[in-house]
Amino acid sequence: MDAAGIIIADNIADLSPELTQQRTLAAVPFGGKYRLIDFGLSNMVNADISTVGLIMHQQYDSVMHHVQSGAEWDLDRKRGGLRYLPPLSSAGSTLTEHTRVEALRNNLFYLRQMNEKYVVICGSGYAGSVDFRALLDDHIEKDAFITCFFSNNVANATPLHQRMGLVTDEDGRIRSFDAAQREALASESTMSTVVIARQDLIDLIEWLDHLPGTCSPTETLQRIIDERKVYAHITDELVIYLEDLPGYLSGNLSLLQYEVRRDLFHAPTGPVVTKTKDSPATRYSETANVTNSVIADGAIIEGEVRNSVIFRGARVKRGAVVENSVIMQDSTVGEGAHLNHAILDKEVIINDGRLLSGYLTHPFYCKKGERI
Amino acid sequence: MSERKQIVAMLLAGGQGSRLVPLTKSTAKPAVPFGGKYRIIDFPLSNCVNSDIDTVGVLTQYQPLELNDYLGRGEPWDMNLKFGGLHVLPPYEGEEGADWFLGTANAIYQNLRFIRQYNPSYVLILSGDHIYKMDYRIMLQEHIENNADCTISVIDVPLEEASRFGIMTTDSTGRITEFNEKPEHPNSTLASMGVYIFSTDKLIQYLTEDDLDPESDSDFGKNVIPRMLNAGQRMFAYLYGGYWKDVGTLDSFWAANMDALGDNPDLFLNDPAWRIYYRHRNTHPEYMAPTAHVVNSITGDGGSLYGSVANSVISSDVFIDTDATVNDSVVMALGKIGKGTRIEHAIIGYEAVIGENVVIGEPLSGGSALTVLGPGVHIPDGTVIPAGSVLSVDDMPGGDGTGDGASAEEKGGR
Repeated sequence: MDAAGIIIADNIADLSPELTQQRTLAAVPFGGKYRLIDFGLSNMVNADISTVGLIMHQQYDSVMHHVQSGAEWDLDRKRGGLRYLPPLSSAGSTLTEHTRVEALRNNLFYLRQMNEKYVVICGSGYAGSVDFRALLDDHIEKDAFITCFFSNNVANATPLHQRMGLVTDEDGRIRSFDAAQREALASESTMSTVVIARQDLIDLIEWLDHLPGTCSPTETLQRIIDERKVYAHITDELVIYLEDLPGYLSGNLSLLQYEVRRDLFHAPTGPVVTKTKDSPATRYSETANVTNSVIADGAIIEGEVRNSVIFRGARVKRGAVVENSVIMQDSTVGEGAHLNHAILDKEVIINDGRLLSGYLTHPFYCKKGERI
Repeated sequence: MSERKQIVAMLLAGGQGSRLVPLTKSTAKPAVPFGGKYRIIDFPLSNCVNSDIDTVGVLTQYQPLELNDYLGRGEPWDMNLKFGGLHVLPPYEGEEGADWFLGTANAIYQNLRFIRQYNPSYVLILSGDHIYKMDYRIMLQEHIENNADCTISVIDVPLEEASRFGIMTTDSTGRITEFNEKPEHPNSTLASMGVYIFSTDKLIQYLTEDDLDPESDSDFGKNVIPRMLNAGQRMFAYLYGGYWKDVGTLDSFWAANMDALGDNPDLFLNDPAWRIYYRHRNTHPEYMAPTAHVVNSITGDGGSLYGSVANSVISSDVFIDTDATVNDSVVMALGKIGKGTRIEHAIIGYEAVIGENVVIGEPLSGGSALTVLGPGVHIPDGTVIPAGSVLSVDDMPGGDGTGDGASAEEKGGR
């Protein structure tokens, strides 16, 4: 495909501070064995995009450790392939919706050295198997300046374009949106995926550079929609938002629905690829009782698990009960402990007999490496 | 980067595995799936990488397509190296004609050039049909300390089983004084595991001698080892105390899978210090339905389980429908098991489609014989398959009678 990809591993600080304290949103674990960036990378390679730049700013250790050479996605190539774009000239600055354009400007050298005609830019704030090829085709067919992806089919939240009060004409050209919706617009940066011709992007960044102050993508859109053809590509492809802690819990638990698993993992575009761990098979002991749950490999289940998502290498000991919860990689729930609406980050240890409960709107969260 | 390797491993992966039919009907024995996640060959390859051996020649011959695809360039075992790494060594045509590998020793002999390019001091000979976790470094250390020409890894087997193996008799220092291949009246219980370390010069010398002997079957156990012993070479036994199983028969293959079950399994696969590496499929985590009941079992990724499973090894992407029961069985990848079906003490090959209300085998508790269905077998609704049956896809009548094998999940969109 005549397009390169840019994945922005940014951090929208208000979205889920607990989960992103030690990692960027791109590295947030999801669905038993994935990190959010897996969806962006998989969508790229499933659309035959084989030149991918990864813009990172802070706490990018976990992203780099996860993606490594990009070999899992066949992105370890001589021609194109994966390129890390860490902050070189802008060390210390945070990457937020306000500085996103700046982040692209800092990497103009990379945009200039590419050969591809188009660039697909995506954030890391959603899980979804999205057909980037269809997005590009739509962009080309409509001779658009920028085409933005939106989904009608959000498993766990109001679709973004509805929140934004997006108004399009019959053809899909964006005429206006409600810039007063600050909250929605902050989300927009991480949720959205856009396609633009590479030269148009370079020109746009240079033009913005001459304007005073910084400019977020939404502010940029606001400035150009009257003169430029900015289109919305709205599909029914399933998307899960992971904006905050309740959204994180409901997003993971949405995998208990057959349609969600089907649309996410068996999409016609191809599989969701993640880093391999060589985990052994999932192990269920004589006392295990697991119902309506998603369980990853390498997990050891000796207790009861209901309506939950259990990551690789997690362990639920004998007599423990885990309900409506997300247990991340290598965490342990002790004997007789009882969890309800809980999110255990990685490598958490819940001692025997603890009773911990939150609610769907207020999940009980336990940060990485904690012991309770 | 070093110009030579201390040790190179040669993995014999060409065996036909005729006693594992139908599992080996269209694939080599080392490529047969094992333990929910693995292929048999993952065990020796992972042992190599965990023992710091990064150069392995894999000798293939029988049905190599699937095995070659699986091995690739050795990436799963970190063996995609510029110097060394994993190399598939098929039979080839030389100046003096093309030869199939005539025996295990001949296979190595024909690939001496591969070994020589790494100029190793030692050569490790391995088989592709054993399930075990072994640190070859300890064996090599003994080989070096004994100043041995050849070290043969042995396990202590019960006397009544000894006549199935190559049996060593040793003196008090561990030096082998006698070797008998499958003796009728064994006088020792030290059985060869088919794992040998040779000092390279001796290996080359004796493989060359063997090649010149028109009477030889070119087999390590039958010819090369006895020849070296008769010539008075320093041959030592290395006694291995860990788990080891030859999975050359359907019963032993099933038993080795069962050995991975339980809270304290004989074959412990969850050891982070001795990981078994394998080539991954892009599968998602499995789904356990509200009706699922899975105990004392291990399961792969990507499956959807709606039925009951006990004491079983279930591979990746298996669908087990509601009211189906699987006990004491091995179900390989991509199998579909219909509503109300009962599977007892069986091996179900990959991509098998079992209809609804099928009965396969009889409970293990009744002392039933193992039932085996080969890969790709389709079993129509309501079929009863008696215990002890061994069926391959060729034994099936023309129509499979189960439609497209689409699961209730796919049809009903539960």
